[in-house]
Amino acid sequence: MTRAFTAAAWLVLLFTALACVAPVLFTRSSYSEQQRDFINTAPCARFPLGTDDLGRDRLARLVYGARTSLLLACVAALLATAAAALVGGAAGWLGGRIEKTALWGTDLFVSLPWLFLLLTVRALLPLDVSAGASVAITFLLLGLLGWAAPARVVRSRVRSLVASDFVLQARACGLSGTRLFLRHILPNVRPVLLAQFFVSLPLFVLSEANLGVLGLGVSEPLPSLGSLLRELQNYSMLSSRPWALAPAILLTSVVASLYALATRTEAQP
Amino acid sequence: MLGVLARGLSRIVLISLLAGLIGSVFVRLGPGFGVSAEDLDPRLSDATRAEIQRRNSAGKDVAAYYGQWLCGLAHGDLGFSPSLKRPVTDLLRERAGVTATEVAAGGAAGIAAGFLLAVVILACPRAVASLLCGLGSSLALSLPAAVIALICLWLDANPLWAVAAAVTPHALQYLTGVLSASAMSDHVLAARARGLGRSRILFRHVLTPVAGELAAVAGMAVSIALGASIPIEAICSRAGIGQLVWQAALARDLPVLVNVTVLLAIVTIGANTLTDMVIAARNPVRGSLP
Repeated sequence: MTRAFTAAAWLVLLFTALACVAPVLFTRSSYSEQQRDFINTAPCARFPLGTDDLGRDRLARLVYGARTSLLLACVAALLATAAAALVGGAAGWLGGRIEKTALWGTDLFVSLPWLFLLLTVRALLPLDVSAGASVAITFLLLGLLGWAAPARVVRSRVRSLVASDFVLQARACGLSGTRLFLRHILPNVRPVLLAQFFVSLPLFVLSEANLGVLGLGVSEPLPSLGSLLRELQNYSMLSSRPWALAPAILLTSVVASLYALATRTEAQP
Repeated sequence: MLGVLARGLSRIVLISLLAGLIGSVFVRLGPGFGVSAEDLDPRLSDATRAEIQRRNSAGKDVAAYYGQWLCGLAHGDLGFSPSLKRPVTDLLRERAGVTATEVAAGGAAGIAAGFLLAVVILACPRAVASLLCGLGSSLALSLPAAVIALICLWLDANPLWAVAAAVTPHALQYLTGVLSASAMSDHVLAARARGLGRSRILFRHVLTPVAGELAAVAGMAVSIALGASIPIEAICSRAGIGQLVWQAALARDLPVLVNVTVLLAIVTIGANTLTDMVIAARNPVRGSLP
């Protein structure tokens, strides 16, 4: 278990480093630059993963795609965790009608399949947008719709803390509500929030991939792990160009590593 | 038991009404409402274009639209799909069977596979087979449902196997936890101390007490299978609800999306209510807890 966790942590570190140094390894236009003389080229010294149907460098697109998916999944996970902390924390701390309303809200979100919710809300927003806007829409959507399940966990943690002996003792000592929340409740909820952040990461990377394959994710020419997978729908070319599987392999490695980290963080917050 | 049923039914009604209301609000506030491709048709006269725009903008008031939708719902009329040019009721009726079969058969196969793998991992935790089960499950968990559908397409397999592959790792994860907890309980330790055989302990003392937990997995599997059915049906060209959702999303067919939202909320909450009832029937004390 420890070895698997160490390997996963190293892999995540490697992918993050790769995403961070993408602009150093490749120029900003290399993922969209079309080399018309090198269409569907096999791997060579100039293009280590070959080129695609439009003559674009597959390796540059893969590295930039990983950068888009990983960095923005982090932003979406931060947003979802913050929303969960706000809703779950308020529900657990204030109780009463606020708690009931928050529980109804989470029930509504959790009762709908996650991918369906994403697709439906994405469909209500403009589809024909620039690449930058599509990135912002996709990950804002993930962040704003992904708060419900973590909010439930945060609420139950806050409820158990409110009922705990040390909080009772702090109340008996005359601590005010705000100070009690900031000094005694919030630090004890932090590990749960961290675990929820790590749990959200692989889920958001996978969700972006699903949206990307269905054509509702990040728009061209900006690559993401999801949009790169769209090429696999033409599976007859895989026998002649097996290197086109690289995005699927990278995605699986990233998500498996993130899941391993999440499992460990959840088990030992 | 009746309390669980009453609570479940009230949740279904309330959440469906809420889902319908939120869906209606989104439909009305979404950019592009009241605009259609017909507006750009050069053959249309100004009068025709004005009439189309008037028809498309009708019901801009959310409350009026919601009231109209509820009234239609009471009469079995779910509206008209602008992109597929057909009544939504007909579309749902035709496609529900395909998705129901996929979700039921694929979900059941996924739970069965997850259960078998969990038993293998529990029975021989250090064997190569267990390691392979764990690795295979992690791999399936790390693949998007869309890629599982593509693999299914390459292998020319029935899409319900893709649904099963999406459900299996989740069922395995849950059941491994439940079985491990059951295997470490005091009565199992006592049975071991009395010298009972491994298989007898496994089937009589570990598996039997957790049979009710399978119901909980079934409730969870319905939601996962429904979610996975969208990319699977879209990629494998299956005329089910999942494909309808995808087509409606691409065409911004909002009446279809609102009604499918309510339908899926009903199915998911209904499945969870049934699960709660099964658990309440097996364990009345636990089932009566709020």
